[in-house]
Formats: sequence, structure tokens, C-alpha cells
Amino acid sequence: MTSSAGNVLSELQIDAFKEIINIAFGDAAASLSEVIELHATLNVPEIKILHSKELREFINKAFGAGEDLHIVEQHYTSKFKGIAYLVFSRNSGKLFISLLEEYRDMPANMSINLLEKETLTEVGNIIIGACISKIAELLLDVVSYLPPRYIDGKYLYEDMPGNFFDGEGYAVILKTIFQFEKADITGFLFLLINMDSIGKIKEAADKFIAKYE
Amino acid sequence: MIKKILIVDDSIVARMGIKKFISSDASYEIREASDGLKGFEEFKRFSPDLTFLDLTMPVMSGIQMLEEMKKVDNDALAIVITADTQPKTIEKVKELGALTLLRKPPKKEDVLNALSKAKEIKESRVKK
Repeated sequence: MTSSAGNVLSELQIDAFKEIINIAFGDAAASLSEVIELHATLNVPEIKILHSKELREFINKAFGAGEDLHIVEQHYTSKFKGIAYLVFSRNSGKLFISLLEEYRDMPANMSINLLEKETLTEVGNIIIGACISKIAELLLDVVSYLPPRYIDGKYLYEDMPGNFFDGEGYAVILKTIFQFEKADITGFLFLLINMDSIGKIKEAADKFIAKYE
Repeated sequence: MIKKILIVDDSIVARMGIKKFISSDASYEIREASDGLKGFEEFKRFSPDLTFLDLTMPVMSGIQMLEEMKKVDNDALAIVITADTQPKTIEKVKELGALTLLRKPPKKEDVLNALSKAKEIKESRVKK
């Protein structure tokens, strides 16, 4: 966590969010394994809380050198406004194509780039949708989505919608890394949540904790 | 008879939940660990009658811990509580001889049912 986040959430509230993302990503991996026979190794999630002023540096560092990356971005709104990013290494597109049945019989004239883009967008949609829906369920929230968008390579802070941070809010960044067994695909999922009012995130974490106290 | 219970999970909230659920059933001597390696060390020291363990943990995963536990005591009773419910994970957990796998976040009744099952197995072993 960054220094500015030291007093934002308690240790227990941070733990609650890590547990929520762990549960949500577990659900997402199970959903994906229903579509393709691929087992994902899950890792312990990380959580960072950044002041909006720190977000530019974070985003540019995370995605700015990303010429070798495939990124699927999806916006969602609920009690919180957020963006999910699913990031894959460059080799993943063709591997996913070979694993997704519905893409095996695609027209021969369809370019491989378009096919990769479509495949990764669908995989992104499955993982992000399952993950965000589970988070919303755990936080007793309702979520709506914009369609996912495929981004080939670099993504900079300037590429984010102008109104994502219009105040002095905080961004909660939930990150989990995963590897797909036997497929040499590594990726990570970032959930960026705009917290105009830090009170909302505290309240959400406390409600989750209360069930277990 | 189950008296000693070990709870291994890197999440404090998850450990709190399990403690809360099982404490409503009876009073147990409970110890906790926050990763697989610490859990395995505690398992050897404490010799619990039953271990609740998570799978996605730092340092040593729950799968590795379960493998190590079974090498020390093949009859060790373990209930896995995890968010990872992919088919291969479920298969591996069964293969390693865990009593059951519960999906996170667990329901109280599911935790207590699994605990009852563990008690039955323990008692049947004592009778033999």
C-alpha cells in the first residue's frame, strides 16, 4: 500500500477486500474452466489504495511499456465507478483461439489479428464479468457494464475516460496474477475503483466483516 | 472426539468466520496460522484432530500443505475452504484425502455439517 493510504483503511478492511477479490477470482476461474479446459493457478491478491494524484504514475508504469500486452478493458458502475483490466502476455491470443471451440471453425478469410482480438475480448468478458458480479453479490450491490474493449499494447493514463477522476478521490486497485496450466499463459486482473467517498468502501468492507465477527 | 482444531488461512476475516461458526457448536482448543508453511509447522506441534485450510495462500499453498500433512499422518482430517472451485482443484483435493471442500464464503450450516462428518469419522476410528 502507498504511504498516503496508511490511514485510509484498517488492516481488517484491507483483509476483507483481499478475501473478496480472492473469492471473486476463484469464481471467474471456475466460469472460464466451464468454457475451456484450462486450469488456472491462482495467487494471493494484492490491494493498493492510491490518491487520484498518484494514479497517473501507477497506470503509466503498469501499462505504459506494454507493447507486448493484450489488454481488455471493461467499465462498470455500481455503488462505485470502476474499470477492470485483464492483461495477457502477447502469446496468449493464439493459445486461447486453439482452446475455444467456437473459434475453431471461423471463416478462413478472417484475419488472425481480428480472431485474437475477438477471442481475448470474450475471455476478458467471462473473467471480468464473473469477478465483478461476485464482488457486487458479496457487497450486496448491483452492477451494470459497458461492453468490453480490446486494447492492443500500450495504455496510458491519458487513455482513461476524462471523467473517471474528477475530484480528490481515491482509487482502490485490486490485482491478482494467474497462470494457466499447460498453456504458458500468464496474466493479471486489475480492478480500479473510483472512491469519491472513502466512506463507501469502508462501509462495504465493514458489512462484509460483520458477517464473520 | 474432536477437541483440537487448526485453522489455516491467510485472511484474518476468513479465520474469524470459521471460529465464529464452530464456536457456536462447542468449545474447542483452536490454533491459527496465516500461510501453508506456518500451518504445517503448527500441525506438527499441535497435532490437531481437525484442520480447516484454505488453498490460495502465500509461502506454501494449501495443496502443498495437505500433501505434507498426509505424509506425517495419512489419517489427518482436513476440511478445505477455498475460492478455487475449478474441477481440477476439486479432483486434487479429493485425491489428497480431504474430508470435503467448501466454497468460499462458506455457509455456517455447511461448516457445521462438515464438522459433524469429521466427528463421526473420528469416533468410528476410536471404536475400532
